[in-house]
Amino acid sequence: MNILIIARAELRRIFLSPLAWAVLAVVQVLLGFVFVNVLFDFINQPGFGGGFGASDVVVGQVFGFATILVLLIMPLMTMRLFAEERKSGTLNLLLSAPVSLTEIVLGKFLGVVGFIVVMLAVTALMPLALLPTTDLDVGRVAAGLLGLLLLMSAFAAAGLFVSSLTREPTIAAVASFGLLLAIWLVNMVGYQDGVPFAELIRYLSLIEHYESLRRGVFDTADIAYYGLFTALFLGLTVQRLDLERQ
Amino acid sequence: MKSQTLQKWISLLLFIALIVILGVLSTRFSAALDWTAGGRNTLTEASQAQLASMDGPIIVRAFVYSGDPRRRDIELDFARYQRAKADIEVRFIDPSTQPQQVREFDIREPGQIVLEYDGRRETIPGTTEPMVTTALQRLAVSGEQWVVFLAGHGERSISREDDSRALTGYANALRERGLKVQSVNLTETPAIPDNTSVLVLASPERAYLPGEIELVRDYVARGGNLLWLADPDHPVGLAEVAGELGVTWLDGYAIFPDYQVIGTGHPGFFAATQYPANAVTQGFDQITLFPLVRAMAVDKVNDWTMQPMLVAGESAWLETGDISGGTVALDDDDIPGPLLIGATLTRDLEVDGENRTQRVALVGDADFLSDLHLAEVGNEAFGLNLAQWLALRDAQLNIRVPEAPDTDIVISPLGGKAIVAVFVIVLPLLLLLVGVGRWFVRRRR
Repeated sequence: MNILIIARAELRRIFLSPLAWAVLAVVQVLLGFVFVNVLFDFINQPGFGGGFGASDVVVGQVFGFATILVLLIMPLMTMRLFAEERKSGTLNLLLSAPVSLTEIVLGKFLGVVGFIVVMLAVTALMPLALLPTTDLDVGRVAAGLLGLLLLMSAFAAAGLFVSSLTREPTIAAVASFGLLLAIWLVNMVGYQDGVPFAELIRYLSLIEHYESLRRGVFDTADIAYYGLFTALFLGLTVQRLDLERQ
Repeated sequence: MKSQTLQKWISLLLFIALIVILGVLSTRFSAALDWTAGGRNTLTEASQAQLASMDGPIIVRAFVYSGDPRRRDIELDFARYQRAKADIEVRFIDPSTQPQQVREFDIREPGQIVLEYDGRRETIPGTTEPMVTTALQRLAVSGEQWVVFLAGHGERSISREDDSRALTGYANALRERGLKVQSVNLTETPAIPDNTSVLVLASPERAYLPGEIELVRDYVARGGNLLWLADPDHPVGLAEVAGELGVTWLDGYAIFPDYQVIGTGHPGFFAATQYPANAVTQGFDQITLFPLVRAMAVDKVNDWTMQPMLVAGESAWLETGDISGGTVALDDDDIPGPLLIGATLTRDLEVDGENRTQRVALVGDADFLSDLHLAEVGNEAFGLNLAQWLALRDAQLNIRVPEAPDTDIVISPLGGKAIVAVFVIVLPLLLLLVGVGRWFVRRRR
């Protein structure tokens, strides 16, 4: 129950600040722009010359572009989670409160997941708008949304951990952006010729596992990857705060 | 205190080890569900049956630049095949660092994929399931199949490198498809080899001797498959063989008055943009270009069934007069369109006690396969389709990949405008307004 209380407080804090709304607005403008462009391309060229559907092309491209956007915005959403508390001195209060560290970390994480769900709900309006116009492949869209949810949650966990390391939100933002970018780009290295352990490198990349979900394949290995990635960074955050508590 | 810190580090290490173990397990024991409508990420039964019939490894060589994200798509596309057959190996080759491989596999553009099975190769431009499985079907056919080009009467050569009219490139393309190619000069060896799968008459310029005509006639009568290319520049000859097939080659050049619209640049160039229903061009959607063609007429004789393959429209006509003057017009001696430029003939017959289908393809042009024109748009692919069909190597299975349910969108102009307005303007503005409101509330405090 403590987790939910913390989560609700965190969610309130997120939506009371103008930042979250500005982020939602910017994301919507950019995604909306991509959506509309690809949509009109698709209307002029049904099937895209290969029996592809609107959910493959239009929604697929929006979800593809969304990955780059969330890479940029998630560090902004997570930078203040612990850094701000440390800066303003409220972290000690939180740590001395009668709640376990795990509850604190999970609560804050769930708060950010709440924001993610709101953002995805807004994003999902675009495919929903196509429902009356065509026989949309709902399963594929759902898999793509699930992929985005898992990807953003993984980003949030990593950002949460980075935020627990520093007292400056801006440093936290830059550092988590750098960290995510590195894990992201690892993928490119994995497709270079003559790189050892290419398969392992590709497995470790965040984006690799999103691709099959975007295509509409629900593979337990991909789901497990995101779950483990998230668990790893949440666990590291708990350990880190545990050191601080002493 | 010290021991406590040590304990913390140990528990941290254990935690990370647990994550790694779970990660390994999750890849070892994984299950995939296809959420798409019609299971479009899952191989069709036709493809699975095709893979099951092929024992032995398949090597996939994808010519994609190092680090190109397309490699991931190719890997995912072939992962479906690898799930059904374990010994499919995907190799990525960077065309910029491996020029000798590019030459060896005759790669024209990055993104091409070469499938290799049992020493035979097929090149495909993409990785959609129909492309891959059809190529696998062709690869699976083994046995020696000879395509025999007759020579000795001014037919197009299959070995001359210095002659742009020769069919050298086409012959090489056939070899790459696992077909054996040879040239037989009837004046030197007066016999058509017994193991001939396809006999090619590549537009002879001089008349055949009566004995030679008899050889060709006998070959057709015994059920041999034939590709007959007849350029308009020379009399066709071999009238006895044509009579057996019921084909009348019409002398003259087909003229296409709307050549400027199509953009061939010459009124005597035939560009086929769509094809009548025919086994050779099934699923084929590329443009093919035929420089200077003649037309034909086909009567039903000897149980042959004719299917049109290349048809020129109403506006074309066959000019029987002289075309060197520079101006032509449709007059009384000419034959008005539509014109039959290419056709296939089939008939069922009994050979040595077994029933089989005999196939013949006729085209009123040979230039489209010459080294000068082979690389034009779809010419090579069309020529290969012809040979594959004649060698009875066309797909035995028809791969029908389920289409996406939402290929068509019906949207009114107003609805389109509404979508633009809502998602690019209204919704973002609303969100922004809430944010500005929050900011005001904060400042007031």
